[in-house]
Amino acid sequence: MASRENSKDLVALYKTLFIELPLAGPKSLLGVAKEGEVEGHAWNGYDAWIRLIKQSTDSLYQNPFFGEALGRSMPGLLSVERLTRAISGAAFASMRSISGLAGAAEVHAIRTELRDLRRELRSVVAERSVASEQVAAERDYQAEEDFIKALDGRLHAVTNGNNHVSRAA
Amino acid sequence: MLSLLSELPQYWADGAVRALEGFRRGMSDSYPVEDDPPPLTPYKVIYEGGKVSLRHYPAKGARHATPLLICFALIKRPYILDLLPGRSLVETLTKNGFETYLIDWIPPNRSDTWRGFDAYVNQDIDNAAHAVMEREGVEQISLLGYCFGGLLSTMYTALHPENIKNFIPLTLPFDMSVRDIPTNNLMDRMSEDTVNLITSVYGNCPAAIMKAGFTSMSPVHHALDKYVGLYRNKQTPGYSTMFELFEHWMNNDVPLAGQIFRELINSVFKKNQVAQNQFVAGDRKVELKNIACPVLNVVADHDDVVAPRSSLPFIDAIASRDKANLTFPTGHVGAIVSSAAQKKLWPQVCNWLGEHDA
Repeated sequence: MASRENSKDLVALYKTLFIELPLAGPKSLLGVAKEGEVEGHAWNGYDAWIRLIKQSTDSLYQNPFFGEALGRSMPGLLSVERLTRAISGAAFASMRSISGLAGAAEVHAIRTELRDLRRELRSVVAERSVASEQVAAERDYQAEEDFIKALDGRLHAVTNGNNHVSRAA
Repeated sequence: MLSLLSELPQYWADGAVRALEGFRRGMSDSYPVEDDPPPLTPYKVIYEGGKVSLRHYPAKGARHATPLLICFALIKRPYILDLLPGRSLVETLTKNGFETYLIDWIPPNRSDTWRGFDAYVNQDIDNAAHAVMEREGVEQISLLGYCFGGLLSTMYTALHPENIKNFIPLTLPFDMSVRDIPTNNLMDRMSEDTVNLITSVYGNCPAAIMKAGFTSMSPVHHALDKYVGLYRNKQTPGYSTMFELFEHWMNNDVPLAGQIFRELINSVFKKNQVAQNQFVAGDRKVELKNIACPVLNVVADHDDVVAPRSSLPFIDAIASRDKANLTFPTGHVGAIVSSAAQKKLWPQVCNWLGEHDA
C-alpha cells in the first residue's frame, strides 16, 4: 500500500516538474492560463513531495541499521553530557563560594517553600474566572476545524493537498 | 506562492522562539505552570497532595449521580482539554451534567526522581479518587484516562476496582508490541543502559527529550509543512488562532520523573508487561482480569501517536461483560479539540455514562 502511494506521489511530482509547470508557465506569460493554474500545479507538486519525504522518513526509522546507529550513539553523547555537567558544577561551586552567590540547592529550597506557601493559599481561595476576552472574540469555526483536520490528516493526505483542506470535505 | 520564501524565515524565527521558551520551561527546576493560558471553564482546586492538583468543574443543569475524574497525561499540560469555547472537553462534560474533576499533574522536580507508577497510581490517583468520593458523598467514580493518563488509569482500575464504577480509556497505548508508529522502532534500539544513563545524568527525563520524541514523529511537518500550511491559510484568522494555541501547547512538554520513565520504557514499552499481566506497581501485580466494571474504549481511527491497533485489544484482556470499542474518524488531538468530536463523539460518551449512572 505504501509503495503504491509512493508511486502515485512520484508520478505526481514528475508530472508537476516536467509537464504541468513547464506548460503552465508559458501559458501564464501569454495570458491564456486559467486563474491560479500555475499555483495549483505548484502546490500539487509540493504536497506530493512532502508525502514522499514523510514516507522516506518513516522508512528510515524502520531501517535497523539507522536505529542501531542511533542507539549506539546515545550512550556516548550522554556520557559526554555527564562529564561536562560534573566539570561545570565543580568549577561554578568554587566560584560561588568566593562570590557569595546562592547555589542551586539553596534556590531550590526557597522555591520549594514558595510553592508550598502558594498551595496553602490556593487551597483557601481557588476559584478562577472565565477568560472573558476569549469568549467575546469573534471566531472562524470553520478555519479552526480546517486546522484540526490538517493536523489529523497528516498521515492520510487528501489528493488536493496536505494542509489546504477542501471546504467540501 | 513566491512570497512564501520571504515569509518562511519569520515563521521559523517565531517557531524557534516558541521552542526555546518551551525548552526554558522544561529545564526549570520548578516548572512554571503559571505560563498556561488563562482557563476557559471556571474551576476550583479542591485538593493538592503528592503530584496532584485536583480541579473541580461544576456540572450545569441536571446532575448525574456519579462524578467523573479525568486523568490526563504526565508529559503535557492539560489545558488542551479546555482550549476554546466549542472545543473544550471539560465544557462538553459539564454541560451534559457531569461533576467533572481533572488531575492537573504537578510537574516533577529534582527531588521527585524516585516516583514511579506505584507513587502515581497507588498514591496520587488513589488520593484524588478518594477526595472526589468524599466530596461527592459517593462510593465509586467514573474514570476517564487520556493517552498516558489512560495507561495510569488502567493500572488504577485493575489495582483498585472497588472504586471505579465506569472506565473510559481514550487513545490508550495498551498493546506495546504494535509497531505501526515508525518512531517506536527507534525506541526499541534504546537500550536499558541508555535509559538508566538518561536518568543518571538528568535525574528526571528532561522535557527536551519528550519534545524530541514528538518532533521526530513527523520532522518535516514540524520543520516546514506546518508553516506552509499557515501561509496557505493566512487569510483565515481562525486557522492562525488555532495554530498559535496548538503550537504553545506543543511546546509545553513536561519532564517525566526518573523512575516512571525507566519503568515506562524498560518494562511497559519494551517488555509489554501491562498487556501480558506482568507489570508490578509497588508490590502488587496489575491483573487486567480485575477490571470488571463497564468499559468504553474510545479509539481515534487516524491516531498517529498511539496506533489504533494498540488500543483496540484492550477490551479482550479485561473481565468486564459490559464493554465496547468506540472508534471515531479523528486524530490523537482531534479526539479532544475537533468540533466533530465535540458534536458527535462526546455526546455518545456522555449518553453511555448517563446509561451507566445508576
